[in-house]
Amino acid sequence: MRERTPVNVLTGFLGAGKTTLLGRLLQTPQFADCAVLINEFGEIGLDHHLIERVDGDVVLMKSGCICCTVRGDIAKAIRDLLARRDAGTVAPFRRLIIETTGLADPVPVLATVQHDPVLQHQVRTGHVLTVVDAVHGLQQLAAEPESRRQVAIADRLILSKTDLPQGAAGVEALKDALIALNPGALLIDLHTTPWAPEVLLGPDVFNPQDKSEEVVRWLQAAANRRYFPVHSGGVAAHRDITSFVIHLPHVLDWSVFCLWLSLLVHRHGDAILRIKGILNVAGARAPVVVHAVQRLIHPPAHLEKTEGWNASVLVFIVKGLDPEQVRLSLNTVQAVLTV
Amino acid sequence: MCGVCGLLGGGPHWSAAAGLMEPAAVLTARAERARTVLLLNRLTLPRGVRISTWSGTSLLVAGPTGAQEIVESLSEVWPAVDRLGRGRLDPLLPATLPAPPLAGDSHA
Repeated sequence: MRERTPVNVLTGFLGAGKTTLLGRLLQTPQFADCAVLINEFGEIGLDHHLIERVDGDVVLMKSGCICCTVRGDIAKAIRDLLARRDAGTVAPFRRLIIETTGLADPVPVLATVQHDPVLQHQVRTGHVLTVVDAVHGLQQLAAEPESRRQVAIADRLILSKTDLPQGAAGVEALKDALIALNPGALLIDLHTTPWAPEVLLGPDVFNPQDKSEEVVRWLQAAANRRYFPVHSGGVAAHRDITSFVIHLPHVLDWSVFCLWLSLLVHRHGDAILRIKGILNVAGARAPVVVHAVQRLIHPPAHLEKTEGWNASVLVFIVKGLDPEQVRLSLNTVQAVLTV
Repeated sequence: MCGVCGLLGGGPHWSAAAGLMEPAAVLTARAERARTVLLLNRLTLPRGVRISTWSGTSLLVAGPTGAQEIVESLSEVWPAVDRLGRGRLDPLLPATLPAPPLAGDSHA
């Protein structure tokens, strides 16, 4: 059975530099095994890098990368591209990158990948990549709720325009703001950090080969107190968005935890931007990794390399929820359901 | 399929995860579902909603007026409980949850 193709979502506010980044990716041989779904070919000025127009929607780049425009339904666009791959009419790509428009919410794309009855057997979610403009990023974070949300749900935060004098001037303040909003995301400066595929697109928690590496990074962020312990009340990173960590000293009953988490995201999913956790579950041979974006709970993953891990840590990025209330809530539901 | 994966509605790809549970802790899918139903009812019965297994793989959610809905997964249970039950459960508002059992209580 073919391994499911990882899907990365590329997002970022209007003008952040998504199309510039995509233009660079499409020309880089290291990304030759990627297919890219974009809104318009014209936006990224592909013409001089184009080898072949496969048909109206799909082109092949000199790098080997496939580029495809989305007309309407994203699920149909992905299915069509996968069908073309299976039929051998496009190159056998191993990864899919989907660009969202600047004002779009990337979560529905993730939900489509996970829940579409056909796609869920062929593709899996990968990282959310959020491009942040070093020139206007701070201003956008202050003024635009969608910009804050895009940062909060990211796995990789990609700083663009740091080579411009206006961008370089405020870059440290912007990094502080981004870390406060989403301490667990890997921060990549396009102009100073190597951005090879393995940095930008992996490792991720859904890949059996390298999920441990990504989870260890989360844990280090928590251990370094980049997240704020719940008893401090968390920290208002940017107005209404708060990140905090809950440490659970006891072994968790998985059934009880699932009921609590499912009820929490059902009732407060709009306020929960991200949940990441590694849990010591009763009866499990290895720690269990949980990962949610708003109401979208990814299937749990099991860690192979535990390295002595025997506690439970849950990291939250929320909008307008009281950290202490969340912690007490889990305790209360455990008390109600555990005899 | 192990309980860890089945409860959150994982697809068939999660069936391989059964090997990660200690053998003594592995429940069959049916036993895991029965335990989930038991726990769900502790939360929902005070709201007049009784949940039971249906046809082996689904859940039947029954409200106090006799109205019923069949749901397929845990994430579909809560909207059904909202529609059929009295008031709303909110995990962040302890007053909306049942009181914890006293020591020595047992829930059948």
